[in-house]
Amino acid sequence: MLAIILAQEESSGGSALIDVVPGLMIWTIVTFAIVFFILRKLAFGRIQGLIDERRDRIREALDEADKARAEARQLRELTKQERDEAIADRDRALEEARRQGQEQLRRSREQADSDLERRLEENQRAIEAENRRLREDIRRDVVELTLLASEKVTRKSLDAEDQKRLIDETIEEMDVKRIASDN
Amino acid sequence: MSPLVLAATEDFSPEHEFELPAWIPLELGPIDLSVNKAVAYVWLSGLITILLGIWLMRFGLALRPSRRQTTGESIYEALQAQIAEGNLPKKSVGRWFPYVASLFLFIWVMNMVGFIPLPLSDETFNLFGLDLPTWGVYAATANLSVTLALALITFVATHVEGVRFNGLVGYLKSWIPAGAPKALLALIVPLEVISQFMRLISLSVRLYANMLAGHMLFLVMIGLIFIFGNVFLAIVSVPVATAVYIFEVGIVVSIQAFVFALLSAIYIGGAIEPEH
Repeated sequence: MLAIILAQEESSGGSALIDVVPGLMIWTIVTFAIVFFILRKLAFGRIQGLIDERRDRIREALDEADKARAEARQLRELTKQERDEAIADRDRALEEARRQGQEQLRRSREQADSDLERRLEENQRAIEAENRRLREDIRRDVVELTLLASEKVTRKSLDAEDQKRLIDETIEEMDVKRIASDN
Repeated sequence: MSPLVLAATEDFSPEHEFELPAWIPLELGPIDLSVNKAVAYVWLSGLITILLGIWLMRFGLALRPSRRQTTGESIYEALQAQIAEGNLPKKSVGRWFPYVASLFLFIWVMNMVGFIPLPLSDETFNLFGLDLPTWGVYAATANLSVTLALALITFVATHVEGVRFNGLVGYLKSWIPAGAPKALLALIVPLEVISQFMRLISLSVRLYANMLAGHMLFLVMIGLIFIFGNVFLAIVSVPVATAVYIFEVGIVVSIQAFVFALLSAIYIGGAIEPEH
């Protein structure tokens, strides 16, 4: 094929295929210059502006998403912190209630012990008083019986001094006997 | 001369598709500015590039893009990422990205238009008494003048930017490889100067030769039918021509536009920051 072309080149005596035509070069440069200026002015600038605008919007959206994510994280941490604080408050309140309960229990026990002690002492005192009263009654009865017996034995009335002496002796004997029986 | 060549010279001339007789003669002093088929294709491609660029990247743009806008944005961002940002210094991306993007789109459209049959031919055919232009394929980028002009813009831009950013002396010094022995400077400096001009040639010839070869192959495959005057050759030549066509449209057109724009970005970026 190349032979055909070369042969034709030779036969025509020219070299149209490799001719450099200045006029065509000028037209090419002029046309390209027009294409370049029009595309730069009307096409590239517009689409570049739009791409930049979209890029800015995407960047803003990403920034906003990051910010929202950070806020959500912050909120989550805050919530967690508040929950922890609430749990701590609850634990503190429970501990306080438990402590107060124990304190109350302790005080109640002490109060009960104290009351019991007091009542025991009162009972003891009452018993002792009753004992004393009974002893006194017994002694009086014994004295009266003694006097009565003595009068019947002696067939005479005892005067005041005899009665006193007899009572003292009787009491002394009774005391001695009581002490002996206690021991 | 072989029978094949003889047949070709008499009945079929693929290179006729690349001849540029003046449609509208126009001379400005010594320069012939006549309008011809190549100029018409350049103008048409320029117009399509502008309309395509504006259609894809200006009208009806919204933050939620339509399919059309998505296509425009994808092209724009691909050019920005693949060509500009990787090869131009950051400080000059804004300044030179529109240039390399326009260059890519313009060359891509010229390449693509070159594979669409259009009634922009010097030859005519008669239909019901009317002389109508023949439909044919022609690529403006298969013309060395077109690719050389585009390469020349990159060449000038490269050196202007190199001098602007580094100063004349600093820029010229940047041509010399670091650590080159002084004894070899007499050899290295001319080589570096030549290599700068070779860039101009390589940039232009690469695009031109690829597009020309694709068109030639396609035209010759179809032309075989006429060269031999045998319609049965179509059984072989049409599938091959179709394969070539698909290969060119699907791959070569875009790759060559991309390579031209990419190398332009690399050259300009390298001139602005020689250590880049």
